[in-house]
Amino acid sequence: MIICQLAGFLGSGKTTLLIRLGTALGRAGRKVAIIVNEVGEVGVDGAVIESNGLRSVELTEGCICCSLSGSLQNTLRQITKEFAPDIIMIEPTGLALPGKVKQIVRTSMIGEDRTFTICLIDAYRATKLFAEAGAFLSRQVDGADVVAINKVDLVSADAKGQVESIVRGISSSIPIAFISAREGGGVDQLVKMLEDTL
Amino acid sequence: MNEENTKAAAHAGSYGMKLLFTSPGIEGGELADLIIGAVRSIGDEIGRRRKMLIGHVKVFISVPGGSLQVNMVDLDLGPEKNDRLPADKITEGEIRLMAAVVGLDDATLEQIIQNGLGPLRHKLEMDIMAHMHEH
Repeated sequence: MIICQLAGFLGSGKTTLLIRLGTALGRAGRKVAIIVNEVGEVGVDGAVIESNGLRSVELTEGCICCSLSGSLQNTLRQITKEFAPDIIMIEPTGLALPGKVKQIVRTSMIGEDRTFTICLIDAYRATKLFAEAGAFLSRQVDGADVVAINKVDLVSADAKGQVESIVRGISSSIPIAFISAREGGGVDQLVKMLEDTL
Repeated sequence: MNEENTKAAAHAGSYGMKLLFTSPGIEGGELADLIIGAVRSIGDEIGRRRKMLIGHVKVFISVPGGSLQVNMVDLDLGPEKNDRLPADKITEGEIRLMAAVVGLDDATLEQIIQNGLGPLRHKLEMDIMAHMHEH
């Protein structure tokens, strides 16, 4: 069993990618469990995910990397015991730090083979976002195994290159995938990465 | 290990609401326009106060036989919708709305959202089921 964390800032496309990945892995015969967490107590993403034919456990009333870390651990243990999934996909809030979530998963004692973290960056807004909240976004990138530069259907080749440079400024070696979660472009390579870890 | 509050670290505020609505019968297109207008108005007001929208405003509406999803993450892009509302007139449903924005506090965001929902109240009977801005 692997844990796949879909990290990334508010509005980076985590839920859209989660639906794509969850659907693809489900069609490939994998048992997929989904945990979704949002800032605020009224969840929207869980309803969106369920409207796309996937089931999810929604954790509200806090953030899984801070106040809800215990709830995340209990949920992971319960899902592992009762559902025995091949993969548990976790969508934290856009304000969560993937390194902290990883650490909480590690101490859950659920016997996962690996935690694989994809950090999404919104290509359309990356320059603005890094100018406003660069230190925070860098911490999100820092905890990832792969960076998925999303919404590439909305930007020019030059803009893609600029976003890649920003990411390379944070990590010179992290793998980068260029995707459009909305259109589906590039998502196959992420599915393959996950399949390779299973 | 978890002493850091990342919402505070990101200087972000958030506010969410869940509402039930009824109507004598509203066309899906009109409902979608109302929601998109409300989301745009909320986003524009955030933009007026912060010069830009760093965060998101999102709404999910479920009605018998369909749903509507509206997201806004950028003032230039505007609201994006995924409209699966039914062709029949809509008489009831549930609205889930959530916004999280860097640089605004929870109370300010709540006020902006409440104001943004004003036009909906002229067309829909709405009961608030939950409203929260905890982290």
